[in-house]
Amino acid sequence: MNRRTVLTALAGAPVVFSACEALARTPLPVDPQAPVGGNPKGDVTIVAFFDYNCGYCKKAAPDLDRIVAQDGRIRLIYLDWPILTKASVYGALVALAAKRQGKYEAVYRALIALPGGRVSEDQMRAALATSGADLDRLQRDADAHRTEIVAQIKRNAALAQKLGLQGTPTYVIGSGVASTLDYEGFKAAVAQARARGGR
Amino acid sequence: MAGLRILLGATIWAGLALAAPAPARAAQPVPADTAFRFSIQRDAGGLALRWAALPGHYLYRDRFEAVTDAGLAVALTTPPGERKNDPNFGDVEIYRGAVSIAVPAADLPPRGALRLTYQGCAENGFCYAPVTKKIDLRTLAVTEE
Repeated sequence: MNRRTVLTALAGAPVVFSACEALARTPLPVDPQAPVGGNPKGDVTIVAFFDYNCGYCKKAAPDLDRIVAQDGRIRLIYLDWPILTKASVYGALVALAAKRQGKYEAVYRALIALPGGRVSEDQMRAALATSGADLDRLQRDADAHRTEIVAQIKRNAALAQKLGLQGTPTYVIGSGVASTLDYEGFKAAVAQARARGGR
Repeated sequence: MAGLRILLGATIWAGLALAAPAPARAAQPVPADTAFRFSIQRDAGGLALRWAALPGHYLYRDRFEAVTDAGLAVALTTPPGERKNDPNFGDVEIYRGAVSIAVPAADLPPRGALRLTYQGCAENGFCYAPVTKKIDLRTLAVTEE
């Protein structure tokens, strides 16, 4: 992958935002089944690769929510990439099952807000009760669509591999790739993506 | 509903772990093979597995696993690590810099391959996907899984 790297010092910490020329030529192939947040018709897309037991994913989540809400023109695509624990896989499965009832983001927020990096399945189940999702339906959807959901998670992992991503969190923003971003970092990365033509 | 139950077989977890990226090409964190340089040597006692973590990176003591071709786990005796309250895994033991694990010859099959998995993170919060290396026990050739 040919890239040029832009180094920007923001908020006291260096933020590295790598512009990926391959992505500039060919937009990221987005899985049509992937949950979408923000403005679906936005001019810049953030693709978030994350894990429900990833500490920095949790730390960055409020900043990601904030930039998407304040900007208003960002399409946010959630790609569950559970690489840390078995419970991470459980979280991805139930969140994607919740998409069947339009509650993906509610479950995502309930799970990503759980503190710590060793959140268990039991803790995740308890958090589901506060998400507003219909849990009986969630169970039915998880049972009925398990094979498709696992396949979707594997597609996410395959895309990460194809892009050469190393781990979580990773954000593909327009044609750039970044990892540990705070609010100012997201803002700068979105501005850079727009300057390069968005999407 | 008392609790949403989904059976998570080890197969799925292992499958997803195997689908994790081979280190190499891209994004801005340094590739895992650069962050955690791996080498292997045979000595009189068996195998010496060695890693050298770049500054600002560390490996988790409890994330080393070795499995033979036959699917049998090989016990790894890891040295004590540095205690760390980690943003990803809480109170854990980690290795910075160099770490070495000796695998006695008696614990290894005479032929075939060993699949070695390990995982580490960076101090900035970025966590690498698990890395799995396949080691040919005859030649010690290492390939990516």
